Order: sequence, then structure tokens, then C-alpha cells
Amino acid sequence: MYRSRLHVLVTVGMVAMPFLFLVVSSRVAHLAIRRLLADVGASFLRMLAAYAIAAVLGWACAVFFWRGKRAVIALPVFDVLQSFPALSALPVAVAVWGASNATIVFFLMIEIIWPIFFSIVSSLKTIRRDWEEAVAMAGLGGWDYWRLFLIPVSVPGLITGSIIGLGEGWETLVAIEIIVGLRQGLGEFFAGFSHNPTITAFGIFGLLLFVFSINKLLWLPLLEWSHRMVSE
Amino acid sequence: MEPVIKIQHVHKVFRDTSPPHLKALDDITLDIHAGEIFMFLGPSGCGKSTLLRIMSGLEKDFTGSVMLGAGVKHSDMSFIFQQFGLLPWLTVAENVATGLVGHGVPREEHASRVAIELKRLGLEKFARARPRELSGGMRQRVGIARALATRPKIIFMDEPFSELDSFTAEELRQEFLRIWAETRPTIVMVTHLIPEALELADRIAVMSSQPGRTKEVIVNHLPRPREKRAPDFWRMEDRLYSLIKQ
Repeated sequence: MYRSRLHVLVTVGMVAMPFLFLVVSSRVAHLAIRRLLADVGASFLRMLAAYAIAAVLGWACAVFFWRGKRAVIALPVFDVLQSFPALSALPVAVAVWGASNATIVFFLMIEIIWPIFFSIVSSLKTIRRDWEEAVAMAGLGGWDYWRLFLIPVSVPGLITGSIIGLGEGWETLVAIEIIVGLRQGLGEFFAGFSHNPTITAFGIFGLLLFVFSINKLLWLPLLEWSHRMVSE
Repeated sequence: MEPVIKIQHVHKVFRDTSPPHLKALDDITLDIHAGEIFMFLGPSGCGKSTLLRIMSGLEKDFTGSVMLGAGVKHSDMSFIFQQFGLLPWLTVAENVATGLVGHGVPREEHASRVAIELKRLGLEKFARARPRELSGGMRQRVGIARALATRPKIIFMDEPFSELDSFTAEELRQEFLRIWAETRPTIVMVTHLIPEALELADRIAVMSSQPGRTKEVIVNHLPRPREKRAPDFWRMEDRLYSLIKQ
């Protein structure tokens, strides 16, 4: 897995960097590290919740709608829905449901579900006829059908979609948090320091560092592995 | 002899082709007997693969009837694919076991039954390899092992050796004949190669294309093991060739 000492060092560095950055920037900006961690943590948990829902729901929808008569109707509809700017409905939602974590997670979820959904659909479209026929002749059904066939074949799409979705998601999350105006979270952090360009720049850089680390440590290896698994 | 598969007046029309309503199969009626190697021989596009899929239940959109003999169930069938049909994310052993999983064979029997088939096909060392790490010949061995693992009464084979180089194909044909002689399942196979049909088959249905029809069913009386350079073999080859060309 780890090819050299340098590889290990770089990995450890990538894990440590975002945290070191947090500590250093809290010093520079004269912020309590506790508060910074709480902001990052709150946003992270919202992201995690929205991502988990989007992954499961996107997967289920993709499997249900990817082909046949359903696809003919559903895919164009989803394509239009995808381009609908969900954030424009956010102020109304806040007025109706109030400023809550649920509102944030819901809107974040409907933003990041699309790349996940469409990537899984495109993964499912790579299914070869003889794979399906082999599965049919083997008589695989129920959970075995999912476990041995549908899940493995759609994992590359899930991972590609997750990378795109989460990449957009962080940006969206900050925007949603600012609009909803809930206390705690990166949105509040950026809104609070919008008058201070130095701290805003620090914050943006930190967020980039965090996203970059997660991509490099988690998603890219997963992406490579998943593509190797389905390639012949 | 009791037929193991009885096909009557099977028609198949492809609707989504251009030109539309292409007649792929036109009124196919024949019986397949238990324990024989039955071959469909014809040029590409004569619907022979489609017919194989109709018989095996993979293709359900057709008219006419396919009846199975007494005591034969759908789960008694397996299929060997032209392009192997192996799932690339599973290991060789896991691929071989898929039929056992789907047929509800008790889990504790899987390992031993997979081991038997791997040994039969000379794949013991590759149990944990992925299909992409194997050559075409080895992949088709996995395909054959998977088909045998469920102990089928009928095995459908869709040009199983056509993706292999001629040496590997010949080797695998011989090995397949040896395995077939052990348990004598019914084999229904498709090919476009006359020598392959003559080498393996007991009976050969010569097909014409567009629409796919059976021209004639020929009984292959050549004694086994078949000598490809024997005059009788050539004579049969000529006869089949002229039948196809008609």
C-alpha cells in the first residue's frame, strides 16, 4: 500500500496540514481555536449528513431509473430539475421551516445528489450484456444481486459523483449557511469576517487545503481502485 | 428418444432495428435430445445466438413455444458466453461460485465444489486471480468451470471458442469433449465454423440467414475421436459447405 517512507510522510503531512493550519490561523486571526474547530466541525457534520442521504438516495434513484421506459421519462425530467437553482428557493424555505440544521442539510443534499445520480447512471450504462446474462443464468437475486453485481458495478460512478458533488458541496454549504444564518459553521465564520480580507483569505485557503487533503487521501485512491475493479 | 428441449414454431422479430421489423427467426421447430451435442451452424446474422437465448430463457420476447423435457428445470441450465461473461470485480473462485450462490447451494459446499471445477479446468493456481490477469483461454476455462459448477443438465454455448487463437481453441475443444464425456450433459452450441461443428456435434442444424431458418438437420455419424484429416470428415465438410452456400 505505502510504497516508500516519503509516501508515508506525505500522507501524514496531508492529515496534519489542515489541523496545523487551523491552529496557526487561529493564532494569526486572534480567534479561539475551540470556536474555529466548532465551526469547521458543525459544517463537516452537515456535509456528512447531506452526503450520506444523497449517496443512498442518488444510488437508489439511479438503479431505479437508469434504463427502460422509466429512463425515457425520468432522465430528461431529472436533467431539468438538476439545472434548477435550488438556492433561489432557500429564502422561502427558511421563511416556512425556519433556520435549522434540517433546512441546511436538505438544500445541500439536493445540490450534491445530481452529480452522484448522473455518475452512477453512466456507470450502470457500462454494464455489458453478457454480464447481465451471466448473472441471470447464475440465478442471482435479491441481496446477492446487489452484493455481487449492482453495487460493484456502480461504485466507480458513486466515487466520481462524490468527488464532483462534494467539490461543489463545500461552496454551496458556505453559501447556504450564510443565507440561512444559523449560528456556528463556516458560513457564519465567513459572514462574520467578510470585512476582514486577511482572515477571509485564510479561511478560503484552509477550506481548499481541507478539500484537497480529503481528495488526495480518500477519493483519488478509491477512484483508482474502483476503476481497476471494473476494468477487464 | 425423449426430447430435453422441444422448440415449436419459434418466431422472433426485432422491432428496434433499421429497417424495422427485421425477422430474425422464422418458424423454427426442432427437438434436442438428452445427452447429445447439438450444433447450430450458420453465417453471422442468422439468428442462431438469438435462438440460444430464447431456449435458455434469456430472451423472452418471441412467439412460439419452448418446452423442457420431464424433470428439467430452468435452474438445470447454464451458459458459456462468447466473451466469457466474467464479472471483473470478482476473483476466479468467486466467479465460479456465482451459480452456486444463485442456485441456493448451501454455503459450506461452495468451497469444495468450486475447488473441484477449478481442478478439472486446471485453474487451481488462479483461484484468487481476477479475470483481467488471465489470458483469453484461461478466462474461458473460468467460464466453463462456472457453467459446470451448478451440475447442469443442459449447457448452452454461444461461439465459446471464437475469441481464442486457433491453438488455444483446439486445446479447449478437446478438453471440453473430455469433460463432456464424463457427465454427458446436453450441449446446445452455436458456431459459424464447419470444422468445429463436425468435430464436436452429434447433430448439426444448418441455418440460413434473413430470416433465420433451419435448412436441414444433419446427423454426424463420424466416430469419436474425430480425425480431421480423414476423407469422411472432408466429405461432410463439403456437404455442409454446399448446404450453407445454397
